[in-house]
Amino acid sequence: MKKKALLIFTLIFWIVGACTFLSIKVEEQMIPQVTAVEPDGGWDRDSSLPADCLIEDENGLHLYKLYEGTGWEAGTRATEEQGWLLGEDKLILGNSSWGDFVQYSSKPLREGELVEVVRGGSKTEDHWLAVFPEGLELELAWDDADLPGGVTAEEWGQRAVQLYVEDDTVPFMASRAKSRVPYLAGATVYSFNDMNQLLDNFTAFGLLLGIFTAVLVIWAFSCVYSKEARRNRWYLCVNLALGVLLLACVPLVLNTVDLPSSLLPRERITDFGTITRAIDEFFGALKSFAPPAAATGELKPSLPESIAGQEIVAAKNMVIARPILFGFFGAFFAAIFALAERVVMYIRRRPRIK
Amino acid sequence: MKTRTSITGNIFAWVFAFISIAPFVYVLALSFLTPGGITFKYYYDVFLGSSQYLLRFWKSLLICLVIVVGQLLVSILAGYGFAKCDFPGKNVLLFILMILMVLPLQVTLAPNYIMLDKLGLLDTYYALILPSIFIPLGTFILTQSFKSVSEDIIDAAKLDGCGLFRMLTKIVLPMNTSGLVCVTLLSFLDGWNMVEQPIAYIKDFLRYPISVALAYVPPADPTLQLVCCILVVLPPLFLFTYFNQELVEGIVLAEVK
Repeated sequence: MKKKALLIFTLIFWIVGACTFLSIKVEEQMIPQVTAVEPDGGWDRDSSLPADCLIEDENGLHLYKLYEGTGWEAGTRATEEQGWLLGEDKLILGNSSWGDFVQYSSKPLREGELVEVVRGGSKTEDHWLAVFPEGLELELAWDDADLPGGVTAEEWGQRAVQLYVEDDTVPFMASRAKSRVPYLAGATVYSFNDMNQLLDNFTAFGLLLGIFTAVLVIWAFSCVYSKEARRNRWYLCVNLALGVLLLACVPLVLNTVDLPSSLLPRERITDFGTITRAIDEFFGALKSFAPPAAATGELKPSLPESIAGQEIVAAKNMVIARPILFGFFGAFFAAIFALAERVVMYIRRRPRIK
Repeated sequence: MKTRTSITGNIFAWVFAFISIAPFVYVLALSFLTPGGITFKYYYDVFLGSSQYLLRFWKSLLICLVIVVGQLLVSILAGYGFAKCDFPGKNVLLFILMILMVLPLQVTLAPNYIMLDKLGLLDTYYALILPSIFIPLGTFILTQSFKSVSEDIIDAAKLDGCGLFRMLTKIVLPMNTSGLVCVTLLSFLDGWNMVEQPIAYIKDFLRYPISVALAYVPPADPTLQLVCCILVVLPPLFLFTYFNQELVEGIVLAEVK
């Protein structure tokens, strides 16, 4: 009973410990980044906000106001504001409203959600990929389109367009991109920088998976050793030390993780379907820019014509299998380690002729 | 007749076991079940979605460990003194200790508050740790437990040149593991379940241990509170399953005595 309790609770507390490190990171990464704006107007007239303060999701249009939470809900949070009226180019608020309102957000918001308010923001070069839903194909000549300064169309197809942006504000926010290029209304807009940033994290995901599988394998071997706990106490201690060491590696690996907010799921980071759908849609759209394989006359899959498109496809091909591969390596190395322990056990305990 | 008694006893044992374990099973089941079916949403919220539950859990665990170590140290030394050493006023002190033990916690809150205020320890973790270390129950239990060690063994050890510290660590403590386990469990549970002390001594919500903070979990989601309960029950569950044998031995010994 003692041994079983110790083994089971060691694993439970290891998982709770790892979850603690993970939750710190997840909490930090899942916070949506928003830009804030104050309503103009005064006591004598209705306050108003820019029309792009309205955030659209599957339930319609929402206006969010920022407030400071207390207790378990400490921090800056967003709450939905009612009683607004959509004017020609601005939102009219009923009474003279005050405080900060959300203008753009890196992803759709939820009622009472913790947010990070971004003030200012640096400029950087980026490429945007806009994918239009079926039935909303734009019959637009993108090379002649009236695009704002600093934005040029690179490649386009039936349902997608790739734009080069000289001076995009960091962090990328799809709603801000749509506000800058109104032709993109209704499309899902992706940033190449954000997609590259997501792909850069695949190695860390793999290492984390490797750590978890390694711990499970070591724990399974420890269960076997515990049948003769007194005899195998040193091996059990080594396994425990290795478990602690691997737990200490979790925050080190997590320290390298930096996920782009625009590509994360709205509610839970474990909604892997949302992330994989975004990756599929992004690279599917890029593939549509590539010339047909038959036209290239080569056996290898054809790539989009833009350099940025080719680079990101190459980056994806390099890292996409890493999580599974590293997870397998973790289990493999742990099994090798445990087998080495068995060999040492055998050598030390083999019958000797004096 | 014997078989019939045994069957009746078994039925009673199962009924009582069911009554005891039912609330925990109920909490466990409801933490997964929602009207929409089985969900891990709330486990995600507590274990991954927000760090505040787990950070608070580890902080509370650390506070409890410090309390347990401190109380064991105080109780062992004081208990040995009361059980095996002769000094003037021993019985009076033991009597005072017993009186302090039966005082309700609420009675000691105000004097402790004044003392902690004068020491400048209010709104710190020391305000939770220090008063808990000196709770007299541990000393009383170990005094009774150490009294059961035969004087002959102590005398034999003294004759062999055994000093006070060695006698304590090599003879008295190994002979009283059930008493030590009892004090460990009681002091841990005392610290883990403390509610009144943090509310009285601590103002900052961020410093509240999980036992108090649990009451402030957003009430809109009762399932979230149930998952927090599962988290909170883990350390006591471990202690009870790990020290199960010692606890049973302690109860049996107490019955024999």
